[in-house]
Amino acid sequence: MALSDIELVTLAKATQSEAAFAELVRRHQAGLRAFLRKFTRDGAQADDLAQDTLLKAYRAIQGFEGGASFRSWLYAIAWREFLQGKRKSAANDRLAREAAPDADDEIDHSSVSELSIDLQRALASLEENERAAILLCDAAGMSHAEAASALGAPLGSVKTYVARARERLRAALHAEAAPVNASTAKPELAATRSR
Amino acid sequence: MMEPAMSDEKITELLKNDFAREEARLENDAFASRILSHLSARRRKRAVIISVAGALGAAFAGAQFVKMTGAFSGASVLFGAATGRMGEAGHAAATLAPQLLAAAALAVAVAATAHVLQGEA
Repeated sequence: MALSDIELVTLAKATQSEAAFAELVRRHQAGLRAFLRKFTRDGAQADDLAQDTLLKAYRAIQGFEGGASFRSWLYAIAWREFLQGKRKSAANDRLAREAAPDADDEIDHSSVSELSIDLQRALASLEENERAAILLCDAAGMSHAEAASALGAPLGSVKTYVARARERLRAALHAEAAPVNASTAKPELAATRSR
Repeated sequence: MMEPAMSDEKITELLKNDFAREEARLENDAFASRILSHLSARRRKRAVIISVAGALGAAFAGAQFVKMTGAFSGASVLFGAATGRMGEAGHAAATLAPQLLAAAALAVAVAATAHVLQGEA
């Protein structure tokens, strides 16, 4: 029978061996990277962040007290790493500006469907907190409480971010799907118009 | 004509499916093994550092062997004086050769280093 995350963490803490932590890495790396890739829209940056996150988690595992799920603890490290990196690097400030919906060249078109491209474009139009919250809750399937723990934000704020993000995504996707001016519609403008 | 706006459920479904596709794509690439080999490399580095430190300690202790036997000779005299009060154990300790006691102390140090290294493995 497969051990739960908490059992693996307990084992990793007690034995200080890598085997238990390795299982946690295998279990969570894809989800973590998918979240970071969708969030940053930059595969290399996302993988660097994921690597730093996992190595930091390995060093800090003794400090995990089990108040939250291991997954939200891991994502909280990733979120802090992202914020720290953003503060450190002036280049990362470009991310916010590049979050404009017409930053089409940021999207890897090779492996995604037409709808997915629209979705990524719409996601890109969201503010960071909204994008992170909706990715954690709706895409990764976290509860609002888990997402709040991961983002270090109050529960009420996370619920607001998710609701606002859904509203903006709806407007952006609606604009994309509209037959008139569909190719030139700016989701951000459409979102503004829809309010 | 405009299409009706999407429901929350539809948006969640789109996001979930898109995320699941990405997750599945990343599941079996080399990333996890890269991270794990990175961790192994760190562990090996720690083991090498502990081994080197242990070897240096052992070499230093070996160089002090004569001094240690001298110290244990002094202890034997004290044990001898206390033999009456300590019974058989005290008598046995007093009659052990100082060289044997020094060798035992070194063996304990080596065993402790080996124990730490085993934990690193």
